Amino acid sequence: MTRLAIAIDLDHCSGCHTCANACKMSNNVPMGMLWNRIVVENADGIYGAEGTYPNLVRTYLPLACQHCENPACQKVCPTGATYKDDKGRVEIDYGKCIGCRMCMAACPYNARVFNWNEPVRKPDFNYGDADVPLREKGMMEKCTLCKERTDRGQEPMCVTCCPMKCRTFGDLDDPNSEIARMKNAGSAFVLLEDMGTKPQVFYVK
Amino acid sequence: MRRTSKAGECDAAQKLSRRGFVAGSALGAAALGLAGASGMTSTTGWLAPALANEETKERTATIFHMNHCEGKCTLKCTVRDGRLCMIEPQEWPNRMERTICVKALADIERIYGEGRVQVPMRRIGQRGDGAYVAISWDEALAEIQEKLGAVIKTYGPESVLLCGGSEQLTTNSLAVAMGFQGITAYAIDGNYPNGVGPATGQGFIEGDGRDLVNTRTLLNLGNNAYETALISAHVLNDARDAGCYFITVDPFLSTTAGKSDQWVPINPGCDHAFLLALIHVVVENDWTDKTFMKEHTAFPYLIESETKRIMRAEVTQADIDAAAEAAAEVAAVDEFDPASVLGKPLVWDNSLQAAVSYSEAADPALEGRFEVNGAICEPVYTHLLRQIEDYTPEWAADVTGISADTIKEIADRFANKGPSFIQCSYGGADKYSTGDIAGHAAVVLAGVTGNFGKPGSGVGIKTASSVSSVQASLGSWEVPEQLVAQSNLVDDYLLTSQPDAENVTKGIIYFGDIISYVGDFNRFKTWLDQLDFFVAIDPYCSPGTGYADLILPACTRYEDSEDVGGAQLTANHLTLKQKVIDPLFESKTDREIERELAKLFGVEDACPESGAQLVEAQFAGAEGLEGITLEAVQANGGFYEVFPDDGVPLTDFEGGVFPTATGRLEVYYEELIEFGNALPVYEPNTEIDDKELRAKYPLSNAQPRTRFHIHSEYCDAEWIRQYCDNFIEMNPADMEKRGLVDKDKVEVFNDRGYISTIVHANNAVRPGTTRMFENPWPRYMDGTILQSLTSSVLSERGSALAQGPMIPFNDTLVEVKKAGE
Repeated sequence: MTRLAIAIDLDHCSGCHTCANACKMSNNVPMGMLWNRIVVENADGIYGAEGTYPNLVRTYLPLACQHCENPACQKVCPTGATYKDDKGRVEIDYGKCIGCRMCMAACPYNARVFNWNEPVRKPDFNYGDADVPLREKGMMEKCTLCKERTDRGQEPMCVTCCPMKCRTFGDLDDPNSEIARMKNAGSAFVLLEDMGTKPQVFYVK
Repeated sequence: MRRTSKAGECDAAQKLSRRGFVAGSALGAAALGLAGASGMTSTTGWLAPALANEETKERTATIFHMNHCEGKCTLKCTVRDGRLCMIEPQEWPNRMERTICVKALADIERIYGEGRVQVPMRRIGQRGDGAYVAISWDEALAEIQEKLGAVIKTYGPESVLLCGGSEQLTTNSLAVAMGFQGITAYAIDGNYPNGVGPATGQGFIEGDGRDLVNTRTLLNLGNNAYETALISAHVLNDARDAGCYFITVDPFLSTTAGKSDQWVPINPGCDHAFLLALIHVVVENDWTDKTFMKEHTAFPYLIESETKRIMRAEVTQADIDAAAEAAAEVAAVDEFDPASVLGKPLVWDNSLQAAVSYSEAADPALEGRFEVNGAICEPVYTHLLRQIEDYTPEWAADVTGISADTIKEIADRFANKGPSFIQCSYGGADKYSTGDIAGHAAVVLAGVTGNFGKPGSGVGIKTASSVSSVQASLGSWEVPEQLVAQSNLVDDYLLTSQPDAENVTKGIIYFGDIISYVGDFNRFKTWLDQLDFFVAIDPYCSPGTGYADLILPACTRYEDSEDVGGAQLTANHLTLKQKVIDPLFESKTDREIERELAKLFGVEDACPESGAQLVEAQFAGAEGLEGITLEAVQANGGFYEVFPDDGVPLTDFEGGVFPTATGRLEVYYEELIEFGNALPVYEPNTEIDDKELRAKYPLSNAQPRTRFHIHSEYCDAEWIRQYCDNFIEMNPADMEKRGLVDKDKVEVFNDRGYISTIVHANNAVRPGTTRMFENPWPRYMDGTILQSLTSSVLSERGSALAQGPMIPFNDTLVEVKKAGE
């Protein structure tokens, strides 16, 4: 089996947002939407912090589809548009998406974004990877783990562009991979473990 | 009396955008005559749609990115159907060198955005009103010839200033050939270097970041590399992973403070007080490295008690010969004056019980009081001990807000758990009038503890440059000798903070944004108003363009009319600036514009004919790159490894040898004797420590950099604005006192001016301060400009130091109130 995933080292992450724009570019994501965001734990805004001056802590948390082994989004999808593919990625068959947004409500990570209107792109042409399919008004979208790139043997664009190199991409089922080693290193954790979604994306601190 | 900025006077660019460029603004376009000039009123109209049945064509090209960041990012750009559609890091063999950041990725939108200057434009209202009409290039050039020609005729070529922000890509040949003024220094980010440079012989010490894995204690003073050096801050991660203890001293919980093992909150503008107390603790406990001090520093030099000057041996012929040789090395041999050579500093040799030159002493004294040639004198170190006596941790606790115990702990760690490195500059104390004192104190602290010349030690910046252990350089375009005019260089502190002082400028040709880095903008505007002629050249409607008489549309880095427009050596790779796309709208490259202007005045041969000719000159003058041709680099996609990287980090001032006249760390600054600062002494900041003024304006405002902007660049980029708008931040406690709530519209003001913005509550902001990321564009602040609040009071010491006086951007007091109250 193959279970592609990304590991994110939060100790090394500087919250720079390069991954967010790299994703937006490569996947032709329209204005007003992001597949990949950076939040600060327990604070308002990316410059905030948890606590009261001067007893403060700030942790950046890059957040996108967690490519769960047990995806809540897939379970509720009435048409089978959301599916788990043979490489362990959670993907959307846009042709089957009816825009019901059940998946959006089900995802505990708030990772999905919906085309409420005709997509507006700035610049007003299709940028990014030529193989990425277009999404229309009424369609759901989210991180695909850069399906088109990873199918060609490349890394996801967020991994390629991260200046801190705090993202590691690989196959969790390959025991010799760096990401499998990281998963077993002891400091790995997943978000909302008690939800039972079993995210493949994980974090280390 | 409070001065108010006229609403909209700084908002010219917005008006340009609204009236000229916004898609569908047909009325505005017609009113401005844009349709007649070019018909290019928006990207929507300009970009031809790709045909659905057309085969997609992709190609890639290489460029190097912003000069502000030293052009470290080598980018692979994908072009599809003639449009830039993807930007990625170029494929360096070393993964850590494959860099790009959030800003370059935003160029996908920005270069096609509504903020581009599309066509040449002529001002039709008052300066700053923002009313312009589109004209042709021929009309624009004819106007420059007429009006700039008149300035030159009336006031001489030295009355014309040709310069720009660091994003300009010109050769400066026009200024050289015409005898225009140019800028040699910038009044920003140079106060730590001012204090560090006299001792080390190098102001900006941009060392090899890879060396930080050898550092055990890293003392970071106000620098915020995790935010301002996005692509090189990974060396801080490497250091932490290697076991370095990382301390950040900053009034705010900056991104870097948040990543540190220890954040030490400090009152604004008092790094120098903190450092003086560290020195006090170190010398009091004798945690010093006396061998280093004796062999590699000026601490043993004898200071004559009466004059405070260094006592020196008689000048010998050998001294003159050595000085002449040193002058020749820096190509200043014409200016060498044998009479200016000083004798070697004297030290007291304990073994001889006599004063001898430092190079002859077997056992130089660091302490004592001696009589030499009838004069009473003491070593520099003795002076330091006496001077540092009052700077106790308890004294510093009052000034800095850092507890005495914390100061003692940090001093202990720095001195005894080395190698230790002080990361400073590019922020923090650079923006206060006392920053040079902090820099001076930093080198004294590192000097007394022997933290120089060995791996992992030193003072400076380890997150600035990509370095390689192989020394090589590219040449540059040289103006033919017969076309070189007398150049009149002027330091830009005259321009940006004292524009009206001894300045004869009547005409300006400015590439980039002239108004974002000035102190006291309202004063600066008065000076702008007296200019006879001002040409702005910019790809974007940056704030400064709204004050120009004529605006010329420049290409971005991605655009060129030729295959190649420049070359750069980054670490061990050569990178070309290849053409990614054709010039957008009616823009021309800076290189072409410079030559067009030169042609107007008959000196076009001073400028390269083409990008290829410029690159050939760079290759012809290259050192350490023998045998590499433009063709070879082009054949390799514009990106070429010129020598392998051995991966061995470089050590700053290896072996304790400094590029000073003596080769030593010259900690005693004779040039500052008249200011009482030959050794670092505490002084309060001009404005934020003024208790009377603080009663009226109780908040000190800081304007640090954000990850999202490069100074004022990218404020208008849509892909940046989705994350970062323009706002001022306050601690919630300070907001409550003023009846403010998060996202209230506020007015921030002092005697110099005011700004209109939104307030954000943030616990990471120190109570008693406000924070606004530097240079938000006026169009997002109702036309008001942040620098109208900024102090322009300069330190008198600055003119005696290498970088000149810095604008004290953060030495600024303000008050905040709800808008409309």
